[in-house]
Amino acid sequence: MSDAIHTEDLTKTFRGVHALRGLTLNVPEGAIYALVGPNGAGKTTAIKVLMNIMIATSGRAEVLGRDSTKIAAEAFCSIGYVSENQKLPNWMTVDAFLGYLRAFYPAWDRELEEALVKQFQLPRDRKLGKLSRGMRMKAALASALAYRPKLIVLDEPFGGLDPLVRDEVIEGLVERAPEATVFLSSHDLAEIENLASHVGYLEDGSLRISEEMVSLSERFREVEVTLNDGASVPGALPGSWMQVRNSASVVRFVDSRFEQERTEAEVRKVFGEVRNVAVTPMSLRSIFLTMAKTGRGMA
Amino acid sequence: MGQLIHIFRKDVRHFWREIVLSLGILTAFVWNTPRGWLPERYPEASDWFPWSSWLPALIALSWVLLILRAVEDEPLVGDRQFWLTRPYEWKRLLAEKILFVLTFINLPLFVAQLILLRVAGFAPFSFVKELLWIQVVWMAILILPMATLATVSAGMGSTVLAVLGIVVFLTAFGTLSDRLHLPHPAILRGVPQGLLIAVLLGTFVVVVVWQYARRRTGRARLLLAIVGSAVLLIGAMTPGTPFNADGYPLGAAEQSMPVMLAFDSAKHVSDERPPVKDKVLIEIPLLAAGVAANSAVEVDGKLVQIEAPGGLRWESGWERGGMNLLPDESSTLTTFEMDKSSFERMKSAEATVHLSFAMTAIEPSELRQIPVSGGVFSVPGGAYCWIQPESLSGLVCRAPLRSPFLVASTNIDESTCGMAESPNETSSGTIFYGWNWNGYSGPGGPEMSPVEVFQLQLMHGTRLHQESARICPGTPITFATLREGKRMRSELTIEGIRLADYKLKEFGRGLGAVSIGVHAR
Repeated sequence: MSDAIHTEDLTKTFRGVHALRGLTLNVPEGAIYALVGPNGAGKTTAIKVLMNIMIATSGRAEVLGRDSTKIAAEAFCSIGYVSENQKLPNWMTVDAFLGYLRAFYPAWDRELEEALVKQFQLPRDRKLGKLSRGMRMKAALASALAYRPKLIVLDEPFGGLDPLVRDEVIEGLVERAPEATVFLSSHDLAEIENLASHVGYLEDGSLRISEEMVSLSERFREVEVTLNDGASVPGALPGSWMQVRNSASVVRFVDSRFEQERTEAEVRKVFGEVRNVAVTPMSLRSIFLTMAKTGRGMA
Repeated sequence: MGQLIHIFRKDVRHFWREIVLSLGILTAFVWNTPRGWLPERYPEASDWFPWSSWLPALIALSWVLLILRAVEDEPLVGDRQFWLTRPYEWKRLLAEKILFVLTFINLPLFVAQLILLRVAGFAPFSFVKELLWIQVVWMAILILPMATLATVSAGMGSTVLAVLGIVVFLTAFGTLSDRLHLPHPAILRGVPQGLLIAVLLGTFVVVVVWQYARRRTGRARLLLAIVGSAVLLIGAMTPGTPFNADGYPLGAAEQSMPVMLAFDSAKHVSDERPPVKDKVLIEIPLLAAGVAANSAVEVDGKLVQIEAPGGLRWESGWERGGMNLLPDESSTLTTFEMDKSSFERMKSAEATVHLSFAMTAIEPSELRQIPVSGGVFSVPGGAYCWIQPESLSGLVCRAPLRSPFLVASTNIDESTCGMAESPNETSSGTIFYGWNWNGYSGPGGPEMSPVEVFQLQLMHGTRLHQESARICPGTPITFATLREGKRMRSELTIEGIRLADYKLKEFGRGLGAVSIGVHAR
């Protein structure tokens, strides 16, 4: 499978402040790739560089096989981009907005447009400026999906949306997903967990992690070890154990390279015989909270 | 082309109010303007409404609004605009903005000017070239600069702030450069102002195209700041082109001179001037004679050389003139500025002053005598004139685009006005002249109306005592268009003159220097 997005050592500096530090990223075609990370991690900057809204300080990026610095005009017929804080022509009604954009896209699908307007319950005769934040986001999304783009890029699409609207947006996206690659940035880890096939964790401009959601979920586990009486926690612990805490005879940690047999073998090697080893799956939110608190990259 | 028209239609839909406003003001202007120069229809010559004199400024403001709104509907500054990630082609977007400006600024102005020329009785399509030039001038002084600012500004507010900032900067620069006495290095001599303007306009074009093609706002602003400052500084530091007297041969004999000048020893200095540090102004009275009827002499340049006993010498160098000598003028003044130290050394001595004047004879070309009618009549130079309704002492005329270089004259003996309307102290045979001194033949400026109104006040006398002619229907007036004739140099030597007797008295305090000049009276 080829990559819809590929970046190499992408760096962006704003007056000496590094927003991106050597970002190397691959988004496979057909994936729903979620780029997550704390505020100021560089997610929006990365997307703006990919969309040729900003120019990288160094490094290179390819989007749908095209150098990102060459993305313009007809290249956007294959890309649907929606951003949380995008400035829309507020003086236009929803109908006029969709009608205006229609002429730019040879592949614009009127039936799909109609279906999206219905699905998102968009009031065609209402001005964009008079719409709620969620409605505006849905209008922008409808306008970015109606021409069946190969790549859908969403910058914080769920920010400030109420749960109902969020579900509608996600539903709209999921319906389009089979025919497109989706690349989105978000804070909303709970929604990402149900939506994304791939996930990347960006922190301080660097990509700490980038992998399939399934493998990420499988390799992170919360482990609770009940020690025998008199056992203690030694100084040297395996590198994949994070946030190790102990109270009385119980030791808890997060294993970032969890495999049932290997983890149990490591536990025995560290603590000797133990009374019990309990393993709990982790949510995406817990995984990233752990990583954010630990502040270190995972292999 | 499809995308261009599509965006154009969107802009028209969005800005129809601004377009209607602009066209409405322009229509009001076209409606109102003939009231000032169409006595056939509006004998009272009054404005349509009280503040109609503001209409040209309002039109220009409405254009600024249209430009800013159109450019900023697809803002180039910022990274959140929806259109940045849509299939806009920058060349078509730029072309659309140009089409918008041409359609709603240039075309309406062009049509309005054709209408005004037609209403004024001129053949509008004879002036298409000149009208197109006016469009170019508006492009250069308003449309392009405003479009450039709009492409590097984040919204209407910041554009207005940028304009205010530039005005404040230019004002401060003008004040400072006057006080700092910027050097005028020889290397800049000969740098034409036109070249500087072309560089500035070229930079505007580059910035606009660059912004649409690449949106590098920071660099575009930097480029504008650097080029703008450089042009301003070079312009301020470029020495003025010295007057070149080479094209003015010395007159062979006095008979061939269009005017004869002599020192008027009977006159004394009575004028005053504000003091200027280390400078004094000398004013020398002259007698003038010999200017032919319906002709004039334009003094283009002047050289003053002074010698005094003890080997003292002073020379002004060739300076630009600025004096017109007319047929009915018998006296005039020539003034020059000396540095105080030279003056102090020579002021009491019996000095010899050599005056050289570079002159151009102004000759009548098309000469026609017309008994004026009570209505509008045509005169040489393609203008229409009528008797000034309020005073009967002059004519008001309208001309296409630029008023002609014209003189009108009438003999008091031929006046058809009754005794009560004629000045009783005027002696028989007195000729009254009215001049429209417009020898400039270069390209025109940013005109809103293509019809220029000028007055011909027929006067006789000196600066201190002037009489006006009375013109009534039937009074014959001789009109002559004027043209530049031969150029020559006239020299005059005045011996035994005490400069102190001709120094202007000083009063109060002044800031600026009074430049060398010659005043006719």
